Amino acid sequence: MSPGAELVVNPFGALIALFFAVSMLVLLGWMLWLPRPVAQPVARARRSVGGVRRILVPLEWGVTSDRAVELASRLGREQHADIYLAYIIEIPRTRALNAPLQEKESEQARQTLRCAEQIVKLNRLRAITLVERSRELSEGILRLAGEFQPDLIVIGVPSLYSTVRGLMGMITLETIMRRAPCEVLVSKMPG
Amino acid sequence: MWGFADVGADAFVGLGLVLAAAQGAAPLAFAFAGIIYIMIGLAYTELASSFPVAGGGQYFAQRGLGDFWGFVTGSALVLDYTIDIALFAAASAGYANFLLPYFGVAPDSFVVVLGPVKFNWLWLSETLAIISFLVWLNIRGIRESSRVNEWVGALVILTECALIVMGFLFAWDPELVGAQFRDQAPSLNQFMYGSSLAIISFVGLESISQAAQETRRPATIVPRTSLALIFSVFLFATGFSLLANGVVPWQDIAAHVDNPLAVLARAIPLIGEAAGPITAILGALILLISANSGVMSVSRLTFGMSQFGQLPQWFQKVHPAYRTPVRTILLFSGIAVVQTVLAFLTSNALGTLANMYAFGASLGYLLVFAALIRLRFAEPVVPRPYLVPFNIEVPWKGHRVKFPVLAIFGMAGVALILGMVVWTHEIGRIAGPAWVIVSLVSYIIYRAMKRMPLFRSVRHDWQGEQMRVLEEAEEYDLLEQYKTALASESRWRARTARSK
Repeated sequence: MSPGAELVVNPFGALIALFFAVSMLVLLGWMLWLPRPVAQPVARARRSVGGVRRILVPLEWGVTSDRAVELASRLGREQHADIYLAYIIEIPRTRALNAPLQEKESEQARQTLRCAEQIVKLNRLRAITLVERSRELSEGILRLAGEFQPDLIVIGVPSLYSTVRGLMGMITLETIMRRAPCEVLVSKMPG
Repeated sequence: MWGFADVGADAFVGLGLVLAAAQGAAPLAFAFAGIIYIMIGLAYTELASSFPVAGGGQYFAQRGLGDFWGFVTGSALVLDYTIDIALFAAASAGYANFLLPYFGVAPDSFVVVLGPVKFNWLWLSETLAIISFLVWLNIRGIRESSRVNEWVGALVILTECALIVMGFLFAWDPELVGAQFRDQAPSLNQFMYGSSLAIISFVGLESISQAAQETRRPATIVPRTSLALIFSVFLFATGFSLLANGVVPWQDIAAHVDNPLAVLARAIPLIGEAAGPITAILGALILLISANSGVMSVSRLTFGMSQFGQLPQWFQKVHPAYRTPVRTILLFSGIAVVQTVLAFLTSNALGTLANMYAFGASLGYLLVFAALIRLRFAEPVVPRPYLVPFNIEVPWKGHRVKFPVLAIFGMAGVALILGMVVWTHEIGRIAGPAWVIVSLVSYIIYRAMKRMPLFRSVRHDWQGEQMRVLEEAEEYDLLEQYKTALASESRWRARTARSK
């Protein structure tokens, strides 16, 4: 360029220059901004929950289990866990275990499972529904845990139990806690 | 920063060669190669952050496709690294020669004619001296170069940014771009040749993969560095070619393939007088660093290949006093010297070297894409901090594998580039495949002598290695994710076995 010659700025050129400068600034800024490192215990805690891919939720008529289903769904949402909804019917020892269910029992199971399944689907997860007969609740839950190998069992417990029911519930929970092959989460429902 | 130093260097070499071939359509050639390069870059980003192990493309191909294809990729990359040494050393000397006229010396006065051969003996001598210097430097194991690399890399990036911004502001004429595109369009063959050469402007990815193992928290740092690298290289390459065609006739740049960016810098008003020599000095320095990264990378790569039983253990021997792999440094730098001398006997030394480089790069990239796809299926539980975008979920052996659709387009693009190389590169289409075939023959002889499988792989404990690498890199989050996924997978296998 000869001395004294006039500098001409082409608007299109100026636009490209601006685009280039801004793009480079954004790129380099983004590259140099690094998230903080994660300590190993923190990572282990986070990832161990992330590894929960199968969640078993035992359901029972008359016990408010819907919130336990929602809780399980939220715990499994990030990692797209499968939710196993198991309706467990306690069969008294006076009846054969494989005796046909009464219409009322079947209807209760259907209603409870339908409601639970809807909760799971609202969380965009896969629900697997089962009906299990058992002499004792804990025995049924443990058998299902052995069969389906869940990573977590979520049990919802109502806050207001009668004394007898509460005692039974405690025995059930203690057995499950002791013998379950996986993590167990007990959620006492708010009163 | 090691990879980033390479990035800055690419534009210094590629611009002149591509403009000489693609002429008025050079920006288009850069954009075409750039789009394919972005796809390659995304694949490297996923692989380097998921498998942060020295070895780059060779390691990915070996892990994904097995020992045989790993070796084929390795041989293509070894070819590229030796050419990297020769090409960047020659280009570094070329930029240094830009300064000769300032001292009253004409570079053309060193051209000699020996029968049908015409070459610049000063340029050749400088190139050989640079390679010798790098050999000495690497055998002695000089360590303080890392900080110098960073400073020079940062300075080069700043200078290149300033050139582009000032150039577009005060010198760029869109009418000149239009006129050159309209009136001086290349033939299809020339365009294909230019596009396939443009791929050499997009190196640096391998260097980042090589450096991934030494990076703390590679899963965090590699994707950022790599993605920033890909897009900044793309911006530089397309920006410079567009700028060049809008500032000077393409013939002016093509006449100076040894120092094109310095010629372009000199043509920018206000800063040109100073920018020309500064660009030349920085160019010489950054290209020297790039040539050095070739020496280092080829040593690492062959050392790794030797550890995996693809090359004799002879390559693992280190110098007793300096603890450096003296044999690989001498052998592959020696090959670079031979390539340099042979290239200087042709009419266009840099063009000849770039020719061969494009073959090795496109072959290597093709196999890296294949490895990316295969690894998604073979090792679905390996945590991937970055995933190539556009995936389709496919159920596969109890997993929901994300099939990378973009990798198919990338493979097709690289195959096209490879086809262009074979079609248009007179030297590359013979020397490139010849190199790979000779390497393969030596591989087969070596494996047969060692009674190792020729086309199958020896057993590798990839899971154990993955855990070790993640732990060493302090990537605890990924390590725990991997362990959890492995435990889930083994539970799934147990369930499947039980149900059968």
